[in-house]
Amino acid sequence: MLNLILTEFLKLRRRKFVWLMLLAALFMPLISIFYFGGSSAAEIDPLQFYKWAAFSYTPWIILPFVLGLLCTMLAYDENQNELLKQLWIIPVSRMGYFFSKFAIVLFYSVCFMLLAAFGSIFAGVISGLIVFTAESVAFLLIKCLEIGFLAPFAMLPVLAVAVSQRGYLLPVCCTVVYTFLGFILMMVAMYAHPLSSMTAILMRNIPGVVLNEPVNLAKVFFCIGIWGFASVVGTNIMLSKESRGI
Amino acid sequence: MEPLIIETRQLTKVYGEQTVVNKVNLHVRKGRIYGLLGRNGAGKTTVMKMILGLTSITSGEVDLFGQKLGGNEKRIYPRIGAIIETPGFYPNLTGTENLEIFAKLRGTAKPDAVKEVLAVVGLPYQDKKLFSQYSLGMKQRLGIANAILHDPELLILDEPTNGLDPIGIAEVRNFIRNLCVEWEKTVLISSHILSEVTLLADDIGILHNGVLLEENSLAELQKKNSKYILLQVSDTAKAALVLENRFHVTDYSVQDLHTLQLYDTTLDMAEVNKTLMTENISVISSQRCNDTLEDYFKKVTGGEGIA
Repeated sequence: MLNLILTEFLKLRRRKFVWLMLLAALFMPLISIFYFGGSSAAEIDPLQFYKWAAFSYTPWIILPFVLGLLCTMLAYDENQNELLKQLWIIPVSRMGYFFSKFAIVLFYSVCFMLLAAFGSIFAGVISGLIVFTAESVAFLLIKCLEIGFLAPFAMLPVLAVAVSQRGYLLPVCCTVVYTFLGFILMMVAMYAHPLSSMTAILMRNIPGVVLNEPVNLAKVFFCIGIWGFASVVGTNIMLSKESRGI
Repeated sequence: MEPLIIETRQLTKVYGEQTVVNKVNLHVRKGRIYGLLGRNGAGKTTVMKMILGLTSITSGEVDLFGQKLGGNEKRIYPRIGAIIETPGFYPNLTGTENLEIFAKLRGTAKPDAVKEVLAVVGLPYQDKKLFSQYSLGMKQRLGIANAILHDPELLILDEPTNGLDPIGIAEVRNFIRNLCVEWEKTVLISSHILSEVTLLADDIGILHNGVLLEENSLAELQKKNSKYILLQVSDTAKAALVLENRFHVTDYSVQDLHTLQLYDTTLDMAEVNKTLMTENISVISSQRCNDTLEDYFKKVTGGEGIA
């Protein structure tokens, strides 16, 4: 498995777009500077700033969309260039193949959110909008790691679609629909969609955030778990069919 | 006799209502080169895919190294190197980087295995050219390098000389021959080019419309190339009577009203011609003929022939 993950990293050589997508983590911190631009450090609570810079559209829309694109890119070459046949006769197990991709998405997601966290701190402190407090920074880092770790699990259905398809159109379309559906369902049916459930976990203890109902962690993890399990089973079936030319 | 490395029994593949491989019984012996010969669409690739477990088998069985593949993948696959259809690699990586990935996945023990195989196929080591910039011939060479990277006992090569220039074809041919002679590898190779297979293979299987029409050693097939005398006369019935009565010829066939084939090539044709003339039978022509392998293949494939 370690070899599979290492080779996944090797495959990313010269994939500039993969690394360029990380810059999207700095989008909301920059927007926050303009949003809070007229205020002074005395008026803005650092957590209020971080809520905007790191806990709003970044985990709801930007991160899922970027991870969806990453999933598509990770699977595209192998599906398109007849590489799977060569992998199966090494032999590489279908699930090993799937989870090595997942490991990359997990690593990328954590890096993305850490970059978002550091971007938020720098954007706030350097622009003079907030003061640096250890307590708020620790909260920000913990929350960012929480999002970075949970988002890939919530994105398992998109990864499943990406590795089971030859082209990129369906996975990209799925990413867009899946992401916006997660955003829309957040306030109406948060236990139906993994991304809504992930947001519920994130929002449950952020000061100043009021949710329609108290977050039921069991339901939230059940939702992410059941979708993730279905994705893994579905991928196994699809890859077995593909590898056997059915 | 050498043990069988690949054995298929009644191997059949049906897509919808179309039977693309029909009850194929293939026998590939250890240390020999088996050439699977057939026209495009004959079912060669499908047979190879079924052998490798890359496509499902509708009915029939495959034994590799005397075992079923199902459940033994981890033991059997490391003993096989294969190219099926166009070799696929990561387009954003160089040839060396691509092979390093496969070496890592296979856990290839030799530290300089990648360098060695690239030298064998004539590609530069640590070249900066990306796979996406490779010519078809270079891609094919890299595919062969990947197939032999882990020093497998059995090579399954689907049209490995596709896209190679004549010198490249000769190099690959010599290289495959060396693998078999010096390293005792077993090779199953497919091709639609008759000359290619006859220059390389020890055993030949002729696949046509999914049916294995013939399986034999090259030597045996060459023996089947019949020599005969083609005789064109004014009246075959009269001529046949003369040949039987005067020359005691029994091994002949009447092709049509004016053509006879005599299989006894020791006959004194001058004497035969003279006798037929004296019996008022006009001899239009008489010539010694020798069927080539191509003629033979045309015959077994129903006259369509193989390039």
